[in-house]
Amino acid sequence: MKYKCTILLLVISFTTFAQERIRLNTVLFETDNISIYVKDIRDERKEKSLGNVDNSSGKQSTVILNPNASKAIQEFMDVSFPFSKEATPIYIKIKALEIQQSQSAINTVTTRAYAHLIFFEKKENSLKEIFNINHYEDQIFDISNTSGIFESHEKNIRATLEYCMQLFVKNYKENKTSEKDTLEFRASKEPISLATVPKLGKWFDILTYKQLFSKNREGYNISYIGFSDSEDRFILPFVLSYSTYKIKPESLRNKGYKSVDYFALGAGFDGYFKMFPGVYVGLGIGVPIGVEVTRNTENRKRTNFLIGINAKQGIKLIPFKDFGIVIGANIFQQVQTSKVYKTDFGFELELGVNF
Amino acid sequence: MEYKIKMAFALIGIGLIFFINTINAQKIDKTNLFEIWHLNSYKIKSKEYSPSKKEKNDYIHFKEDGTFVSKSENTIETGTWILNNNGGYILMIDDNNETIKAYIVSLSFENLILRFDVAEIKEVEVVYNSHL
Repeated sequence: MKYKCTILLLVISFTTFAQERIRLNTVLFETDNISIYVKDIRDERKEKSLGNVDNSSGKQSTVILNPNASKAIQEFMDVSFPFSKEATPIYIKIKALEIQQSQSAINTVTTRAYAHLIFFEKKENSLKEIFNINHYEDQIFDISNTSGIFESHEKNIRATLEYCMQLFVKNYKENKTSEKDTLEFRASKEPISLATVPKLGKWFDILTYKQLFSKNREGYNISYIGFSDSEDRFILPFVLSYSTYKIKPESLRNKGYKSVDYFALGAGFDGYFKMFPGVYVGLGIGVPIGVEVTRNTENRKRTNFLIGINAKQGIKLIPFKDFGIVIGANIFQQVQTSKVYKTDFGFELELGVNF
Repeated sequence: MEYKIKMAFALIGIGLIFFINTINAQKIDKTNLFEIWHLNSYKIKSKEYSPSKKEKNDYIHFKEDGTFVSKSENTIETGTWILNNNGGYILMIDDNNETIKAYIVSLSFENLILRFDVAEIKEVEVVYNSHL
């Protein structure tokens, strides 16, 4: 029994994230001399943590505001909008407050804080909604800057809260001067709901094997593809590839060669158009650089520098799972500095894994 | 006894200075922005470039009433601006409700260096002077 409990505790400790508490710094911001103070902040989020991100040591952690979101934001607001008897009390409901981070390029990480706040004023003993805003702030960091990445979450939250408050103040002043009874403002044109929390794109690391079929060549290609599946329709992945091909024996007849082999490295960017989640149409231009090894009928071996340019059009299917299979097919056209065949076209079948 | 009182006052003083510094550590003085900022140069990875002929008279005027006027390649734009101290940026909202963020790289009485949150020019620091 004792052993079972120990094992259970070990399993729980491995599967749950460590917890990090962050304290909001108090940085004053401009208030345009508006006479308001924040009377009460109610946290209406179901999930009270800010989210799961890497801490300064690079370990996944659940982050919460210290001591809790309502109190931390109250203290943050009180510095810029101190209480006074003459000031109008404002009430805030926190509908969403979260942080995210995701690899956004081969060497960068994007961090984000997102808030959805609703502002109220007391009229005839009941709270009346006067302002509704959602906003996010992003920062981009070098992937190796783990402490900077973690520290940025706190700054992103402050910047997001200040943005919401500044726009509230601007709107409040404008509406008060035009003597309107109520004010309504939405920073987002989209209807606000928790379902529309803008998520950072997921980073995909993909290893693929491509089998090449063409009139004159046969061979394969191994590629690493890295890309962030952002909300953008057009995605530019980072690609590193190694290819090895040889000319088919039947294509060498009457050419004076016994064998011709290619070894090429490629690096650069293809472009993907996201048709549906997990379905991408690829368009790419590559510059393969390598060597061409020829052996003539007298068995004399020669090595030539090879550079080319190719264009590809294809489709790639990537399941939206952390680990999954990638399937693709491309047609390609290539021009190269070969001694044997300077042009080629054909198709490739692709199989890979994302991890 | 007198020594203890002096020590107590000294500690309170140090504490107050620390507290004030914590609050104002990152505060940007908004009044320093109330100027006509003339475009002086562009900086990319600490290398400086002069503006083109068309941009020679470009400027941004951040007014005290929260409005701005800017001139970019002979095009005048107007709107409102907000300083986000915690984010370290100026948010400009033009008359068509289009917004642009400009991160403050540095600010002094005579110089303002901005980095605009526009994908194509994110690496470019735009240097402005308060005098021509």
